[in-house]
Amino acid sequence: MKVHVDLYVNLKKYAPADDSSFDLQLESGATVKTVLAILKIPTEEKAIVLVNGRNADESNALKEKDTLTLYSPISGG
Amino acid sequence: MNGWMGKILRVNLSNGDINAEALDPKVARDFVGGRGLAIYYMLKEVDPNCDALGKENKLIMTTGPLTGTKAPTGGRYMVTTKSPLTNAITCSNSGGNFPAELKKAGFDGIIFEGSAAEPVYLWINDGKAELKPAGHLWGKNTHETDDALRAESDGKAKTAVIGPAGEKGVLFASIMNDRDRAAGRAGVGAVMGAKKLKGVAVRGTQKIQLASEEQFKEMNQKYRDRFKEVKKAGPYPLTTHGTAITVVATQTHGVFPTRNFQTGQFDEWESIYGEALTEKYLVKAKPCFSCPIACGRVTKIPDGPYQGEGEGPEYETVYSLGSDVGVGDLAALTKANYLCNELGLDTISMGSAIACAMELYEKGHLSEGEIGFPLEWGDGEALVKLTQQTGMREGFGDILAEGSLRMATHYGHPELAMVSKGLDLPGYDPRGTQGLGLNYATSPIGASHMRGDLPYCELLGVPIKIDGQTWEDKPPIVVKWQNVFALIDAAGLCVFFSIRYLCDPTLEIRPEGILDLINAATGADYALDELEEIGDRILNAERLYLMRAGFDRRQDSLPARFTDTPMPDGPVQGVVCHLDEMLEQYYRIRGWSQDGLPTEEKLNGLGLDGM
Repeated sequence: MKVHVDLYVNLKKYAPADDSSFDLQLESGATVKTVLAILKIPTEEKAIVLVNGRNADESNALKEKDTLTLYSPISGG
Repeated sequence: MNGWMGKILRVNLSNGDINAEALDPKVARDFVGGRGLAIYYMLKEVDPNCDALGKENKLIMTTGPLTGTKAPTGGRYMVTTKSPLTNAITCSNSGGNFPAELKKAGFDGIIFEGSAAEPVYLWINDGKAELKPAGHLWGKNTHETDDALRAESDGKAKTAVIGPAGEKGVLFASIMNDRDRAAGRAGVGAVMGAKKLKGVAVRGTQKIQLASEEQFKEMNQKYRDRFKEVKKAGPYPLTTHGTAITVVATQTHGVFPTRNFQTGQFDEWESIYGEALTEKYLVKAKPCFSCPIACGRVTKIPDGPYQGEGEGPEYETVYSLGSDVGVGDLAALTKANYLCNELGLDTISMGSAIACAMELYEKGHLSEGEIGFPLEWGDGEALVKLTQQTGMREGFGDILAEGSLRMATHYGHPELAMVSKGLDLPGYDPRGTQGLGLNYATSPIGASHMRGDLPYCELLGVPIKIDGQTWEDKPPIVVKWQNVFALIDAAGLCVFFSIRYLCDPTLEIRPEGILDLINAATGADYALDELEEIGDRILNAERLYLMRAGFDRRQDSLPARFTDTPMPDGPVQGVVCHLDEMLEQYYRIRGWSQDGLPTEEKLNGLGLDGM
């Protein structure tokens, strides 16, 4: 299946190529954790995880055409 | 006294009397300072039903016991008064260097009463204060006024001034300190203008006595180290890109207010968010007094029609003068921000009023003839022109100067004003930040994000990330956060540092670090419960003031756009804000009636009987 991944702020550096907004081909049954492992994002990064704009965590299962958003905590507004 | 200077300066602008009064130690202990001290004086001295622009209203500037100390972000003050925009109380917070200088000049605060016959400014020089004529400054913008006041008094003085907007009674005029720092919300600048007070210049070199220098140093280091630890892991987004980096969170959650909150995602967001600002116009990051973060932006537009330099934009401005008016031109919105700073206007209410006018125009309720030109979404040139007109109350700007609610009502469509208690919403759609929706509705000053900023947990992951769209879990969190934010505002600290590094990293946000710093500074030996109760006391005192001004549950409301109209698209599609359901629980937790009024038992329990 294909999912879309957007990396922002301090997590941009984990993009596989120049573009931090990219598609990723995954085996069915893949979770957010699968993507974090593929992108080699260490757990100490404490990424904020959204799937289709909703709160999610590492165990969240992904499905075809999902958008996975990852960014580092920001304090302030 | 330690931590506190023990003196309040009372300035009667009607007769020119100036007196330094002793700060009652019991009042200091019970209300701490800043926002707490101000509501104490408001309840005692200002009729809640007075004319906000009349002589009976007072303008109160207060610092906290940590203002001017080396505590991280210990550089804040509050400006409190009855608001001419909302007729509720307003208290607006600002940093920069003016608040610390005021404290070092020997005063915990200033109470301005009455109004001057001719323009004046107040010059405070290390414990001595005098009123001076300001007729020659009337009409000058905030930067020119800052230059002139420092030239006339002391080059090292710090200033808080109004611009033409405050003089002309724009109902959302700000008070600008240190040129570009704003006590912006709900028309504090209009009250200052009505009193014919052009500015305050202050020079202070006194030492703030601390109860235990050694303990304070140790605690200061402990909490600064927490910040350093996090910063070590990688670039700190607020330092690198300023608060406008927050757009990443609001856009991806679908709560970035766009075209007067008609939707929650803006197609051109990448051209106006923090990284774009860093890349195109950032000159340097600028900290407030004693702040290790430095989220302030010194910027410059080097060429083109919007050429200029100044400070900003920060997140709220990127929303209000950007996505909310559909403007994706960063130069145009930055220029409008510079104008707001120079004219003395609140950027949130300015953008919100223009967004409201754009929707009135889109729907045919407002004509090109009335405005003087077409007013389409995304028109950066019109944005800049209308900002200038509003600050000077010229042309259609004279209508905008009344604020979005009065304007929308004038054109027969009050439902198009995005306000609560008459104050324009900050940049988070409450359909996807339900807790903040409850906070907007119950905030004592109207829709504010600084009276319990739930987007920290609902969007930003601080201290932990929770879902913004759920509502059932929010009322107890809102109550706790409102109380702790009131304490932060009383102590003289900034929420940006306090929430993440001075509170325990759970949704309880117990203010353990604030306790350590306040006790080391004041020697008051507060208990943690006692400090938390002070937050509750401040909220209830503010509510008591509102109650006396005739406010109740009816004003704890949001526009029908949020409670009745589901979000049309994006991640929040189909969702409304469940305000009524949350309010019931909120009032119960607060110990208020279902009409939103504090019970006698609740007020007595907080020692507010007799107030």
